[in-house]
Amino acid sequence: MNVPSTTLAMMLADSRLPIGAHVSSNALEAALLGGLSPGRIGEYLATRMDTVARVEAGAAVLARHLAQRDQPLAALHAEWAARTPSRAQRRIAAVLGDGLRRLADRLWPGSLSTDAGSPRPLVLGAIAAIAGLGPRDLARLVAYDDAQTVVAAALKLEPGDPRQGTALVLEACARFEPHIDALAALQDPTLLPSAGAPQIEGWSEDQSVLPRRLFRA
Amino acid sequence: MTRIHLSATPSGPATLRLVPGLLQPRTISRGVHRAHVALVAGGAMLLGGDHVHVEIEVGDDCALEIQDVGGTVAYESRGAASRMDVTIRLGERAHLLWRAHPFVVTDGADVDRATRLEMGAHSAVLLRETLVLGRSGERGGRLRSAVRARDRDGTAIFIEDLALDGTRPRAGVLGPHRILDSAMLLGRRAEAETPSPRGDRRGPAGPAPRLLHLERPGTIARSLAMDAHSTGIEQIMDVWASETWDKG
Amino acid sequence: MPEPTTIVPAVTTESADGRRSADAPASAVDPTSVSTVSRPGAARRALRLGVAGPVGTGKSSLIATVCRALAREIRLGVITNDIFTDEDARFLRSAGVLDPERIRAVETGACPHTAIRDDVTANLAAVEQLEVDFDPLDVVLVESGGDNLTATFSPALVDAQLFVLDVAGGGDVARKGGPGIGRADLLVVNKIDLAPHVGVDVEQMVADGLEAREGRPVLALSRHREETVAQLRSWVLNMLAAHQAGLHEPQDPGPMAPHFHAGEVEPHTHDEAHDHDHAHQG
Repeated sequence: MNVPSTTLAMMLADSRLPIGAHVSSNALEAALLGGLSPGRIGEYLATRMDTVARVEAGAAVLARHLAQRDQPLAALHAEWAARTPSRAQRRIAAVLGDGLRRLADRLWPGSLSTDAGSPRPLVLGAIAAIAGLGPRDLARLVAYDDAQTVVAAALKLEPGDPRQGTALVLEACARFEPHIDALAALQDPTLLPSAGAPQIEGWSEDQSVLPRRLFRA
Repeated sequence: MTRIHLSATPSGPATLRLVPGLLQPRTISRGVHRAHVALVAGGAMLLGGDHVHVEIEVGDDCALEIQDVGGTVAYESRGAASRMDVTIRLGERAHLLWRAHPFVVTDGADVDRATRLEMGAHSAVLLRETLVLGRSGERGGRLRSAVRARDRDGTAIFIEDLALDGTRPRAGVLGPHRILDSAMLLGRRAEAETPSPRGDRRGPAGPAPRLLHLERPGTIARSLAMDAHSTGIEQIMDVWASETWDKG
Repeated sequence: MPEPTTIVPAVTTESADGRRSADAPASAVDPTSVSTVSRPGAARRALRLGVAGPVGTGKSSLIATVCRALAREIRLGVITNDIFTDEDARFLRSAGVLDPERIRAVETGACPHTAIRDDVTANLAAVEQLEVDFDPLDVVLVESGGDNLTATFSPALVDAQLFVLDVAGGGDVARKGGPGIGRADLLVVNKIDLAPHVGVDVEQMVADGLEAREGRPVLALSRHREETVAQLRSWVLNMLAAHQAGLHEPQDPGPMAPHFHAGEVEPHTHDEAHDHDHAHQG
C-alpha cells in the first residue's frame, strides 16, 4: 500500500478507526467530577497540548525515527514511561497501543517493530515509519487525537453545542503548532519533552478507580 | 557549593565530608555506614541571581538522613532569575532520606530548580518536595522545577519538568491550588497497603494524596493543596520512612 | 398450567436455497459425547458465544446458569461488557459458578453497541487474551452491555449469539422483531416463572418469537425450572459440537429487521454480501 502521508494522517485521526479508542475521555470524566467546570474544557485542552500531548507526540516522532533505522525502542519506552508517572495513563496507552497494533498487523502484516504492550505513541511511530507518515503530520495527529478524544467525551458527559466542541479542537491544534518544529526534529530519546501536569495525572488515577464511570480512561 | 559526602570506612564510623555553601551542613550523628545531617540556611535565601548548589553523595552500603532547618524562600528576582540545583549520587545499596522543608516562591520570584539523581544498584531514596507558590496572601512567582532520576547506566526512572506560574494558574497543572506536595520514593516500590486517604471522595482535587506508581521501582505520593498543613504527605513520609529506613 | 411450548431444534443450518432446516448433520451430534479434541479442518479455537439483549432481561444470570450447568464438563471463559465499570463481571465472580480469573470485564466507554459491533477491538483482544491465558478453552461467553433491541454482535467477534428477552419486558416484544429477535442463533424468553405475575402468556410470546424468526429456535427459560436449563445446556453443547466440527457458520443478525416488499414471500435484508455468503453454505 502506498498512500501519501496526508491520507495516512486522516485515516489514523478518524474516530471511526477500529482500535477501541472510544473508551477514553483522556481523564475528562474524572476532571469534571473533580471540579473542572465544563466552561474550562478549552483550558484543559490547552494544558494538555503543552504537557501530555508534547510527551506523546515526541515519543511518536522518536519511535518513527528509531524504527526507520531498525533501532530498538526499549530505551525510548523507558524514557516515555519515566515521563508518564501515572500508572493509569501508561495502562490505557498500552491498551490503545494494542488496538492500533492489531489494526497495523492487518494493514502491514509482519512489518511492525513494536512489541506487544507497547504504548500507543510508540506503535503510532512505528506505523509512521513503515507507512510513510512524516514527523510533522505524526506530531499533529497525536495532538489532534488527544483534543478530539476530550471533546468527543465532553459531548457525552456535558452535552452542549457540538460545533463549539469542534472549535475547541481547532484551537487546541493551533495551540500545539509552535511545538511542532522542535518535536519533529527529535532524534535522541533522552531529549523527549517531559512537561508534567500533576492535576491531570491525579485525574487520570482518579478515573481508573471511579465507580460507575462511563469511560475507562 | 554545599557538599555532603558519606562513604563507608573499613572499620568504625562512616566518613562524612561536609563543605558549606549558601546552605550549611551540620553533623547530627554518625555511625557505622550511616550519618544524620542537618542543612541550615546560611542567610537570606535565593535573591535574584543567586545560585544554590547542593551535592550529595552516599557511598556503597551507606545510609544518610538529611533534615532541613527552616524552609527555603525565593524572593523577588528583580530581573535576574535565581536557581537551585541538587545533585544526588547514590552508590550500590545506598540509602538517602531527605525530609526537605517547603520551597516557597514569593511574588515576583523567578526560579529554576533542578534535582538530579543517579541511582546505584539496589539504592533507594525518599525525598520530600513541597513547592509553594507565594507566602500567605500572595499568588506566587514563577518556578521551573525539573527532576531527572536515572540509574547509573542512564536508564530513566522519573523525569519531569514543571512550569508553574502563580499569576497564571492552569487547569490541569495545579488548577486553583498553590501547593504541590510530594513524597518521592525511588528505587523501591511503596508497599501496597500504603494508606491512601483519598477513597472515593469527590470534590475539587483536594489535599488527599494520589499515589503514582512508576514503571521502574518507585512511587510518588502527591497532593495539590491550598494549605501546606493539610496535604497528607507528612504521614506518608512517616510510613514510607519506617518501612524503608528503620528496618535497615 | 401447562408447560410452555419450548422448541429447541438442535442446531439449524441453512441449505443452499437459504431455507433453514433442523435436520442437518449437526443435530445428530450427541451432546453428551462432545469431543474437545480438534479434528482436521475443524475449528481449533473456542466457540465464542455472544449473549445480547436489552437491559435487565437476565443476561448475566443466564451466563451464570450456563456456567453452573456446564463448568464441570467443558472449559469456559466469560467476557462481560459493561456501560459502567465492571459490575457484571463482579456479579458473575461473586456468583461462584466459575473461577473468577476466567471472568474478565471490557469497558465500553458509553458505547456498548459499538464495542460488540462496529469496533470490536477491545472485546476481541480480551477474548484472545483469555484464550491464551487458559488455553485450551471450549467456550467463551461474551455478554453484551445491556443496550436496546437493535444491538447484536458482529460475526467478527462471536461465532453464535443468543438474544435474551424476558416476560417482564412485555408480552408483545417478541412480536415486534428486530435483528436480534429475528435472527440471533437462539432467542431466549427468560424469567418465565414470572409470567403469571406480569400477565404475560408465555406460549403466545414464544409463538410470536417463532413467527418473527421463521422457525429459528426459541427457548422459554427459567433458571428455577430444571428442564428449561437442560434445554439451554443442550443447545450450547450442540452449538459447540457444530463449531468444533466446522459445521457452523457465524451469521450476522443484521443491522435491521428483515422486511417484506409487496408481492414477495421471502423476507430480505439490504445486507447483500451476507445473503451471498449463505448461498455458498451447505
